[in-house]
Amino acid sequence: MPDNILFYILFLSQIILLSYYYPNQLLKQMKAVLSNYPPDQYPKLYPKPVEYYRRGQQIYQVINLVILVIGVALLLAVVRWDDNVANKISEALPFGYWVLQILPILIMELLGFTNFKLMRKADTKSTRFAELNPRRLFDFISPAMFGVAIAMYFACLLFFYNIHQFQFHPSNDTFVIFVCLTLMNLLFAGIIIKNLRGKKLDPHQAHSDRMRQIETSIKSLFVMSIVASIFLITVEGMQVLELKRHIASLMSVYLQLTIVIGLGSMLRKIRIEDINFDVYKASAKTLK
Amino acid sequence: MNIIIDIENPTPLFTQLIDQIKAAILADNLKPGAALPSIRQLANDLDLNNKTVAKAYRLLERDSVIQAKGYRGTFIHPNAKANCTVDLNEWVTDKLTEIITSFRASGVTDSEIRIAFGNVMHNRSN
Repeated sequence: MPDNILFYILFLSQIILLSYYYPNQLLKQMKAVLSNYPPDQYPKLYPKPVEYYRRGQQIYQVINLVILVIGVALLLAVVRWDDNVANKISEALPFGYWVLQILPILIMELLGFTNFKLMRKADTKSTRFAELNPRRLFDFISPAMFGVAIAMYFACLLFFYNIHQFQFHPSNDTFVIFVCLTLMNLLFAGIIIKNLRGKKLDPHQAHSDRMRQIETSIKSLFVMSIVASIFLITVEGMQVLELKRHIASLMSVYLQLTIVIGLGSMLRKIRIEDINFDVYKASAKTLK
Repeated sequence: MNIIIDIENPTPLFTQLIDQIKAAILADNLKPGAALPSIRQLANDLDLNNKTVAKAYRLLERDSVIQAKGYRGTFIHPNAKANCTVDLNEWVTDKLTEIITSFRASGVTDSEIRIAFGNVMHNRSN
């Protein structure tokens, strides 16, 4: 059991961080928006009746509470099981639970897209506004960060290639890691291109807010890519060094990091008080 | 530098784009060498078809107001300010008026002029 204490602490941290702390932060923000920017003064922000948003908040709170209880029950069960049997905890446990934890976030994201779609549908103004400046990747991140992400991608592939005796075929780990890491980075690249050149989701969003959102999103994706490469190298290193029993702990740390980097940085950098809500007023005509 | 398009304005959308870019150059809001957004970015930001923005850029490039530099992007032409004042439509109208006047003076009928103009435009010989 003492060997796994580190995992228990990290798994508890995963439960609290992802199913209590961040959901509470999100709910606090949602409540603050609803009370400070009510639908009668900011009608463009609410394409659906206000009750819909209030009910959504309640459901989100309940779902997270249920997931929190499941997490605590899982932890207690693992502690109990650990006493009876043996040592190594599977990394599938923190990963499986993490998938459950991010479900409410994903559902909120999807509902956010639906909300933006309704906002665009309700937007009847005939004038359209754009900044005549190109949005380029290096306006948002430094070339150094870009270089580090690329270097870490190749370092990770080379590390696996080296560890697996320079073999590269579909049944080999190097190939699997190459496919997974490349697909993940391609997905990130797609999101970045969509951010830079794609259509604006929120038709009323102020230009400065959009720029801040794009910057935060791009930086988070680059950091996530770097962290993913480091994580894979570390896991493989631990396998080689016979430290397999700590992989579950490392997995939990990594999964928490993905949320801290993604959702956490959004919450930290895009603060309600900095957002221009005037664009959602009924009288707002052009976007600035 | 902002650009505002009014979709209910009878002026074609690509003309609104051209006029505003030229106005910005003449007002020194866009300097020679300044980078412009890509066609896709501008079209998405203004919620326009890519072809509309591409047409505006093509005409501005033809007038040497902007210059495309391959993958590096599109930039304001070094002589953009001077070229902004050249109106090719006006120039074509002036030239055609001059030629048609000389045809009429020579006794060519309007119908003959139209047929000949059509033939020339469609590369047809008599």
